[in-house]
Amino acid sequence: MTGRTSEPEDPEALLVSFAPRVYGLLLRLVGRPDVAEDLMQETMLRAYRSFDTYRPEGKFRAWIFRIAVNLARDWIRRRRHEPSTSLETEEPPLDAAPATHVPPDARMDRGERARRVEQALARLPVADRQILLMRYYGELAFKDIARATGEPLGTVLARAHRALAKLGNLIPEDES
Amino acid sequence: MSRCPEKTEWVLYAAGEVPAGSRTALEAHLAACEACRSEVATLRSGLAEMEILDRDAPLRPEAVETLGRRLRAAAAHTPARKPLVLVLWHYRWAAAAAVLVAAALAWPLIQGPTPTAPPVISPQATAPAKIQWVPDTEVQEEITEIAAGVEMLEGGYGGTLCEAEPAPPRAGGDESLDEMDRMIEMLQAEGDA
Repeated sequence: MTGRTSEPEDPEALLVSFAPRVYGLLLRLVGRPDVAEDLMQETMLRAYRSFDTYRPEGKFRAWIFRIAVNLARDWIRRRRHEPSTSLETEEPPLDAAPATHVPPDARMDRGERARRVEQALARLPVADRQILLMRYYGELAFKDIARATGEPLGTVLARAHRALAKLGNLIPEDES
Repeated sequence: MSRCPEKTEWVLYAAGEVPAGSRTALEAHLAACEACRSEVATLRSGLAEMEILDRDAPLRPEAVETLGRRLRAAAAHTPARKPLVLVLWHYRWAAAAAVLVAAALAWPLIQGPTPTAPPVISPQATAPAKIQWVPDTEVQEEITEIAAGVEMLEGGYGGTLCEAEPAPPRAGGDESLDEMDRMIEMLQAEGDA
């Protein structure tokens, strides 16, 4: 991961090394592995084509995750306008939560807690969820997330507070 | 107990993104505020819950392979970047013109100010102007002329301006002057009213 924060040398290798994380973020943002995979490919291609616009003084992770999040939000927005989809289905259905797409052997290792976290994440509004996902998968500070999303830091923190409070209340105190 | 900080500040604190200076003050508050301690505990718990998720999601090997192939294809279709010299060569005439214009504009500055002789101030120019006294008789004559002119005007055009009596009818009957007289009468009537 050390090379990911500095100026990228080989764009192709760098982008491929980021693919699983970008895919993980997209999967939990859109809730469908096929769509997440397509969006990941699109993210990487866009990043590759616009590599000249990447500024070394900025964080590469913030840059690439911003592309991914924008693509995911575009997809969610388009889906909202599809005639067969009601406005209430902006959030991915719980049936399509990522846990169901993890390979069976890995899913067996997952505890009830992980499943509940994924379900709770899937229930969060997209705008709140993307903040937590960018922080977790991109390992970005909140101020970097604010810069990447173009939202004021206060808004990002308010979203994070709301999302973390929901996640934090998932597990009863005696269990945590 | 001091006033509770904003909730968003606790997000930064729980995530370890608060500067050292602010952290001390926040910790002092936490020591005395049960509500804020509970707030921070919930936020930390939320952050900890995220850690249960795999950061690197299991991506199908075929997807990675496809990605590599697409990136290589994109690289093959991306035109090689021209060296900077070639890019500049394309704009050589514009660059030459710009240099010439800049040189022309900068020339006076390079030359510096042209030395000029200091202005000569003649003693006449600085001396106060002499007052020419006019004899009283000349002034009297000028006053008389002006008074005659005024009198003529009053008799011809402005008689009604100074006198209450209507002006005698003018020979020739200029319509525009009659119109003016009517307007003046109207204004006077309005003033009287």
